[in-house]
Amino acid sequence: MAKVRVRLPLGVTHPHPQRDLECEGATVEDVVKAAIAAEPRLEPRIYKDGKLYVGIFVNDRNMRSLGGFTMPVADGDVIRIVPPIAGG
Amino acid sequence: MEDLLRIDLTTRTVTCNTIAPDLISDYIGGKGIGTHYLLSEVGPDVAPLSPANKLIFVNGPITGTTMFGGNRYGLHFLSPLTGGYGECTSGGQVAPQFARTGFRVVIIEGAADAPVYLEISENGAQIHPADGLWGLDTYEAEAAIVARHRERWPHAQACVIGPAGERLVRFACIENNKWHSLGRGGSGAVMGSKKLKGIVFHGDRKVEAARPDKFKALVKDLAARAKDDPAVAAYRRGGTVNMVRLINGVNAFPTRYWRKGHLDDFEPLTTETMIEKHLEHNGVCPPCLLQCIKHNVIREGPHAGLEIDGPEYETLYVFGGLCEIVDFGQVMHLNDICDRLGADTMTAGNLCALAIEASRRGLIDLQLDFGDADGVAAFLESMCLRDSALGDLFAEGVLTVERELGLEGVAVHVKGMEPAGYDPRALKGMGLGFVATARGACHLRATFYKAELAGFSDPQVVEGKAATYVDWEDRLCIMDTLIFCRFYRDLVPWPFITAVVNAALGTDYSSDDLHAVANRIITESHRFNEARGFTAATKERLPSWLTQRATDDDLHQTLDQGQMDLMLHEYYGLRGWGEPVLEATVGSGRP
Repeated sequence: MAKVRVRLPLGVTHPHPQRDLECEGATVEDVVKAAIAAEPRLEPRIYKDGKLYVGIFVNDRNMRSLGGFTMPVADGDVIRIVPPIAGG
Repeated sequence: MEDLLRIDLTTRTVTCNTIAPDLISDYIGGKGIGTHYLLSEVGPDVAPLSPANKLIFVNGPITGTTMFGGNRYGLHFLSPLTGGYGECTSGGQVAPQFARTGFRVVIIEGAADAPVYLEISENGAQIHPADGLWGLDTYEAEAAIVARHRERWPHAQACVIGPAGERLVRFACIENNKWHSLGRGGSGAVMGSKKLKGIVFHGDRKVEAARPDKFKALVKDLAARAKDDPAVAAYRRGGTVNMVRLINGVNAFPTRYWRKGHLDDFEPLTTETMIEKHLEHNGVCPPCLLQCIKHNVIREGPHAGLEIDGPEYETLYVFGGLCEIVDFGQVMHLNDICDRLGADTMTAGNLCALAIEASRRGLIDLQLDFGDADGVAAFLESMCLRDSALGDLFAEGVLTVERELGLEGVAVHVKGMEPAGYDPRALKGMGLGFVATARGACHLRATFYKAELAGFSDPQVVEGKAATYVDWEDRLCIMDTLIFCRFYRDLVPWPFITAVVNAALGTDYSSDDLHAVANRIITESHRFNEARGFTAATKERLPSWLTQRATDDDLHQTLDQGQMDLMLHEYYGLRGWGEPVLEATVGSGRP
């Protein structure tokens, strides 16, 4: 199990400020589940209609270009949750 | 191949030239080449509504190709609203036709002695009398011009001005495909000053990349990544209307003339209300994967039957937030007035809200209040048509209004252009963007709200913010040289956009090379303003209405001048511009 920092931005945590969580897991999916377990109110902002609603970056690289939701994580990795921001 | 077209409306002459290859490699296209010509050819003594001002239309290396998002054209000009650098882009269906004429740049100068419109094709340009067109609204004018050419050229597309441009309203815009705008800075007034009603484009020249196989692979890669992208899904579902809930949720939704960052009763302005009550179908500016366009209809009530593409988030913020007209259908109606008369909704809505502020202070002889949809609609028309003394005053823009009514420091603008819908007290990086951007209080140069909401920069921390800002601004500047639709920003990280530039032009740039190109272009836009006497002290400040007041809501957020000065100082340093002049030595009025 790896110890990973999850960065939760203002776009997900509002009206509270952005914050970081320390979570454990073997994969990106495990870590996101752990983050939701720690902050259940985030679930509707991370999942919509059962689908992942946010972008996920692992060490500043989009997880979709690395190995996807089931990719393994390592100690010290930083996962960033990026809400979809459809602005002009 | 000749790719630069010049049209002098005074002498009625048309010339074609070839752009020097080193200009293309130094500036790429789009915003780069447009800025270069603007700086080179419009000197500091030129008045914005004089024949010497120029309309510099541009397209980019991906315009007219199969690259998704390569569906916009651009315009550069001396702005009658700010007296400084003017730029805008528009979507719809004009851009591919413009690119297929073979011209990368079209420069229009001089002024006709009677109303005309232009026909631009592979053969150059023809000047046609605008008989029966002057005075028409934008929908009617566009339909009429296109009808004159569609039989011979079935793919012809046109952009036009409306009555606001004809009357030199300083925030008049140029419209195409009814609801797409070269929106900000008053380009419509420049076109009106030249008695130019419209431009029709048609062409059949193929637009090809220098390395077609590589380019094709990049198009495929983009499509594959867009398939399950959450931002693409968000655009498809709700378009920019999604932003109302999010921005209101972070207390950055400008409300009640910039007093508050939160509108309590905001649900009528949301995606959910739109989907339930108004949405008919999505639309695209081809070629595109996003389907961000939302075609809405009013089914009941005072404006039943009205249908438009829109409103976008920015129009919802100005009329729904600043004016507190919390009704989606009423905002659609106000949007329609702006579209038909040819006016920028963002400036128009801010001026309506400023008029409310002025009325409540007893400064004007008009009763107007927050929430008064009919009153705002009437005032909006009077500004766009200049058909009353008060409308005529406000048609001159905020720099004149604040001076005449003693509202300096209250009127919210930078350089004479009002901000987009992100309160900088909640998202401090937006404050930097609003003051540093050459065309005025613009959000599009970096769309930094995205960086701050997504956690790439803490919204409340100012130290060190400029470095992240510059990285975003550089990448989005390169997007503007290619002319990639801004909504593709999540799909075009530095490696991808560098590869697109190289495949399109046949170059071998690194991302660092493109950072240098972006810095060159942004610096030239800054120098254009400097030549007109703009300084940080006079033209790169938010008003005290924002920097000396907290938001009047539960969070009471602030942004003080010291924080602004720190960000600007860092920004200038990163750009290589020395120290910003922070002490005012001259007046801030428009030249």
